[in-house]
Amino acid sequence: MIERTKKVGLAAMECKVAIQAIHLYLDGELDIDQFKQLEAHMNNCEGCKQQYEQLEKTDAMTQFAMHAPVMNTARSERDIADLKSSILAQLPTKQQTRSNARFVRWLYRYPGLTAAAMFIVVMFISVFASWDQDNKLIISGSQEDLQYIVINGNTVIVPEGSKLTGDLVVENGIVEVKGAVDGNVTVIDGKMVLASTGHIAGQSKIIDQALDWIWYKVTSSISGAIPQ
Amino acid sequence: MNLLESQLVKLALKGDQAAFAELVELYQEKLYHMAYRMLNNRQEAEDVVQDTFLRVYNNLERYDVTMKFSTWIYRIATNLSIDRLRKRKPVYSLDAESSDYEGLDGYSMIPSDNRTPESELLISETQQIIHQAIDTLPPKYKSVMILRYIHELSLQEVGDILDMPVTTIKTRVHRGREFLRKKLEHKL
Ligand SMILES: [Zn+2]
Repeated sequence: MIERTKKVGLAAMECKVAIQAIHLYLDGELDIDQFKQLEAHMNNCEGCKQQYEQLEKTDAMTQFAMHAPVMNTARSERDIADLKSSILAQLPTKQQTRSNARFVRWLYRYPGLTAAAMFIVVMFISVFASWDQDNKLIISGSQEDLQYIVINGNTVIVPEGSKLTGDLVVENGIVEVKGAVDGNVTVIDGKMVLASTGHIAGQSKIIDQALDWIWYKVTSSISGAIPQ
Repeated sequence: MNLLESQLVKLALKGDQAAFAELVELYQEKLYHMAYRMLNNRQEAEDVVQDTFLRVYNNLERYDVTMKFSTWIYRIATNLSIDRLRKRKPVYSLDAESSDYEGLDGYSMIPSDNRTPESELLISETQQIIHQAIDTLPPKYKSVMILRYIHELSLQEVGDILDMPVTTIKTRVHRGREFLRKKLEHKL
């Protein structure tokens, strides 16, 4: 009890402590007891009271002045858009995957050869290696899309009412499109049946010959290898 | 941690340009206002914003996910602003009142369509005085005061951004406030 009165007692607070308390108050860090102590001091100390008023005004005015530029330096839609596009324009283009980047660099090192010619040389080897392999049904597409697909023997069905958002590639099979496909549908060594309910927003392509297939591989590799 | 932001950072990390553009959208004006208050110069403020995003982009891999993204990006922008302030310090301290002040006098600070007699009065009476006072703050107080007041960040957040203990931030806010009070004394 004695200790408490000592703490709260008016004489306990010096001006130096009072000023400190004023700042804490303005920081929002003074509790009610401390505030009462401060108030009690200021009732008896004109100097601290005046400082309190000045600091409070300074605080409010600073707040006001700091917020004002949001209005004062108001930036037009155009300023904002211009800044945004110059920010985005300055960004370095990041490398794609390392292998692609390396391959492209490798192509640049042999400028005498066209990209396509180079690819054909490379592709012939791998294409023919896989061409004779087997007649296994191969389906490629995005994971979300593949869950909608129904496989019946060697027939791949895009069911009515379903919608694929990406590309679909089927090798060695028949594709029956009854639903919608936003991307391209490519059939390699197979058939495509487009039902009356079906719709393909992208390109649909049927590749039956080895040469077409090579061309397909080449063009898809090129577009995949060159960043953007 | 803001969910949208952390999501955007993750996507940007994977090379998603659109996600990064989203981050630019979210922060560019906030950073601009902060930098503008620090530097009092439109061009320099824009440069700081640009440099900040360039650094963020190049250092995304190094972003510490336990830190708030806003803390990180403000830290970069504040440091870049302080660097600029330090670089021009000789000119700055010799000629603090007049230099860097073009475009900051009452009328030009407020867009014409927002001008009313009252706002003109407020601008000329109060704003200019405070802006001048703030502008004369030494950089280390200036950055603390601006972060504290412009976005109403907590002392802890200001400390995180400037990578300083809260006690230091507190002391600087108190001194900064005292500095401004003395500058404004006759006008209060
Ligand atoms: Zn006192």
